[in-house]
Amino acid sequence: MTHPVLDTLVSDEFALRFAFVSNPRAVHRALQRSEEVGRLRSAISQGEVTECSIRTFIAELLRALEYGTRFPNEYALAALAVALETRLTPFAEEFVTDLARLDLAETPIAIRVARETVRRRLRLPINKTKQFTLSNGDRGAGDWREARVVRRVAVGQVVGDFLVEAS
Amino acid sequence: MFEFQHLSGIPPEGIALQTRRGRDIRNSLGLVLTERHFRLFELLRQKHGANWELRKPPSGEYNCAGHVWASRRVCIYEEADWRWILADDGYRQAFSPVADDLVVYVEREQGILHIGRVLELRAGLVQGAARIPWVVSKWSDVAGEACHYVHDHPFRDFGFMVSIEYWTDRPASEESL
Repeated sequence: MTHPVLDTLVSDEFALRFAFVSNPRAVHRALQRSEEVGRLRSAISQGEVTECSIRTFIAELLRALEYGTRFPNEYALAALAVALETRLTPFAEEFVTDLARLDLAETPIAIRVARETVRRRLRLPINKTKQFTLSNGDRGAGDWREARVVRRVAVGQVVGDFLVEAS
Repeated sequence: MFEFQHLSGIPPEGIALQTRRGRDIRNSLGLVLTERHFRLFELLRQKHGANWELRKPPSGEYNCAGHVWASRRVCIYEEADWRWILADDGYRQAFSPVADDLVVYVEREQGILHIGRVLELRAGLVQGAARIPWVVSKWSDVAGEACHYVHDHPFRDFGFMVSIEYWTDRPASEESL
């Protein structure tokens, strides 16, 4: 059974608000500030919606993908990309980058929204980490250090405005 | 994650399309729509289109920019390309639109949201009021074409703060005509 917050992404009421905007960047923005994506984001961070259930949900969505026909669920796919934008997990990385590098006429908006998401992920601020060495009962006085997140890129991945190609 | 889709879908195909200055404009031929797209457009009309006149039912071949700049042949998705066309094809902003000028719906943060073509100026609702542009446009690549008053658009309900600009290829000296 799908979590209700995922179900809302396939409703007509949800799609109606995004299907009639031609500029994919604006679709991204509209999704970003939508209540549904906000709820999904917090459900993911609280563990109510797991990455495993998202994977199952995506598989269900993609069953409606037909060769040569416009994909009817692309706004749900785009919403997932936006909801996962700030999540730095291998699953989120895999989802948004794989969607962004698709080259399909069936789902042009979701792909472009995902490309915008990838661009924004690369601009996420440098992480600050606190390093502790703790022993039992020790409250720990750690020192803050800056750590830059280094990303591995794959051939075909869109990085900023560039497509990574094999040399 | 999308390996199967990558192999089984259609890579987007476009046509040769350039600005007057020879800049390539990215574009793609749209695909046929599903029942759901028709249903969504009907919902849009019910909610926002009480005063629209439907010119054409939904089709997937082109979007608003393809309607205006590519003779209804393709979708032009990138806003940067819309800007290049306006710049390279000699458009300028107009303050008194006439038939065949462009109406451009702009959001401060997101840039251009939508483009349509002015068909005529219709009498205002009150006697002596300014005439109101009557526009034909295609709301998106999954919409139908509708004729509507320039302010009669759904973007406010979608959460966008839209301003309306008119763009023309007429020389500036013709503005008062």
